[in-house]
Amino acid sequence: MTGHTTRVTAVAASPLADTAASADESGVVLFHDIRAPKPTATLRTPARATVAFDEQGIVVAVAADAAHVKIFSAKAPGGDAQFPAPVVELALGPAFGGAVRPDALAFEPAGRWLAAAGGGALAVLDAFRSQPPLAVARPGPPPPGCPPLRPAFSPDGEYVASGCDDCAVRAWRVRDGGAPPPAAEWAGHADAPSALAWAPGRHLVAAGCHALALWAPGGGGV
Amino acid sequence: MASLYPGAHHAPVPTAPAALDLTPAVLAEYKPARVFKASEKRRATESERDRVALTAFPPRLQTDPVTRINSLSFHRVHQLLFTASDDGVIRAYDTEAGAAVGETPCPRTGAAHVAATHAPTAVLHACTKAANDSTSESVRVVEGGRGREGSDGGGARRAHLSSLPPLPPSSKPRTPSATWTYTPTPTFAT
Repeated sequence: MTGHTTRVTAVAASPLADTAASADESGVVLFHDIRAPKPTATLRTPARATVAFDEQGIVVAVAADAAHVKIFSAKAPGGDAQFPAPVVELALGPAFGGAVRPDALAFEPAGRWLAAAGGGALAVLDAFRSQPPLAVARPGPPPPGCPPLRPAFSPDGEYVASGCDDCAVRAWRVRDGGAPPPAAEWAGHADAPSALAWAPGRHLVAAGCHALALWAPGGGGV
Repeated sequence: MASLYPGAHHAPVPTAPAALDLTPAVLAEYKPARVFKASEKRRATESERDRVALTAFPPRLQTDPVTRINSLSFHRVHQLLFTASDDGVIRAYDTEAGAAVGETPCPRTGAAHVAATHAPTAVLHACTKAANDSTSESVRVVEGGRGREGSDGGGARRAHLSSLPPLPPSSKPRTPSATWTYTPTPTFAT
């Protein structure tokens, strides 16, 4: 698939259809039919962008500036049609100091919340209305040369986890609100685990720095 | 009652583990179940135990800047995990067996931002070595994990992670139609 002229910053696959979205350093967000080489729709944003699909396949979240995350309908128009206006704009609030763009976005599995991470901060936003962040955590900025630290929600949506600059993975309870203390801390990585994901529907977390670690209750129960 | 399949009625029936709620106590119990060092060369003579540290998670693993795992993605249905690393290889892991099942080298394009699709083998990834023009490949679909199928050494260890309890999904999904109204307008301004 072609279309980007600068480094790609995010790739997201739709959970429903054979569509995907990708964003790049210059702020171009492309929508693809994964069976075709040419993009099906283009969205231009002012600066380095990132993109995420929700698990219901209804919307995509696009972060392009330091103040807002915009939610668009995932039914992107084909061809040269103009891209529709965002469904809702979520203000990031003071969590990012108004100067840092989110590097990574992640929807809660039920689609209620959206986690935005960047510049050492992690904010959990209501995915439907623009209001102050439900919870703000400070995993710290990624070390030099490390990709952005990606947040991950637990399948039940109760917790949001992220790798931290001190090489640990921490999970925060969203319901605690404000700036909650971490509910769990898993240490042992050699470097900041920037890649993180929670297995859908199972007690398993994958975290990757230079090594890949699979975390499970009691180390797998054996 | 006579068995439909003679000799088969003694086979153990696999029982699904009971669902376990994610409480802070359970969360604190999370420990490394498997650790894969991406930079390690898989040799045929090496045993599974040597390749995969079972419980010992060395506090400082050897760092190799070439093979940092830059992204990972679980398949939404199948028990599969895909990783992309800076050495340009997409690796697939069976999360039920807790074993590597294959790898797809992408030396020409490099690999980052891996994303699982519907198919159990096809994965999306971004190219890190793309030329900066609009005709070069920037996002690709590859057959992830088809390269070295079965390199985990077989079924002896296959039950290890399959006993992980399921995690109940969120009980209160909000329906978007209640809050969102789709009113597409012909212009988009950022």
